[in-house]
Amino acid sequence: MVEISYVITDPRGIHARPAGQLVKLLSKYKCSVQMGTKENKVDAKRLIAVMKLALAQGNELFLVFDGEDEKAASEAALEFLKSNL
Amino acid sequence: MFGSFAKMLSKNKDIAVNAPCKGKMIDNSDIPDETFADSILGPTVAIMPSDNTVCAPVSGKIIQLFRTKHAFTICSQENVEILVHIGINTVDLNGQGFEALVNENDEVKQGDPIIKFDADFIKSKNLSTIIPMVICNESDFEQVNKINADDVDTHTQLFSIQAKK
Repeated sequence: MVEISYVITDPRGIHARPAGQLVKLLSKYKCSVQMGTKENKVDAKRLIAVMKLALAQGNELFLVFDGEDEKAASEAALEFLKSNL
Repeated sequence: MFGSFAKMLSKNKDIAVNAPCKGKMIDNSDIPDETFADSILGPTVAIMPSDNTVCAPVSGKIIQLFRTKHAFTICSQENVEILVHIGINTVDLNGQGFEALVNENDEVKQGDPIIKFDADFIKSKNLSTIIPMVICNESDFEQVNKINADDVDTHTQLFSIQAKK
């Protein structure tokens, strides 16, 4: 299991477009991915659930990866977050 | 969440997703946003609206009204998850020009008004009023077919979706 966290810097938070791009990226990996706040995580491969998190600027986002390609998935996700959110 | 009766019904016929407003269906390539134009989020259609009310494309439950009121998600009785996004880059308007007519978790009927928007205001900010609509959970279904149309209203079917057997 790999866990990463990221503080959102985009003033618009995670809106539809970046949420969709992130879900699309994560769906390429076999591992399971849970995403959200420390207390409330959802399946990060379900767009409607990720959008519903409605994470805003300054919120800390946590992602938990579990499965054979967890390391590669977590690295790709972190890179996406840093360049888009 | 929904009864077994609804599930039984949905197995026997295709699920219809209608246009969310009156207007003209446009080619996805004419959407000034790559994410929607290339259907990155899922099967996508787009409407150039000719009136100011966006309605439920299916009967179901409002999952989310975006904080900035420029988009909503709805889950149909057959569990089709749909995003309706009013305008392009309208997240930047921060809620100005939009009025929500329902609340999250409300059960609505296909054609019920969900969000009113001020098209002139959106245009005055040099933003497009094009309304993309996306099926968010294509992989939960056997097939999602787009139906081409020209002039549309909330009675015009734009997707036909087959449940998994």
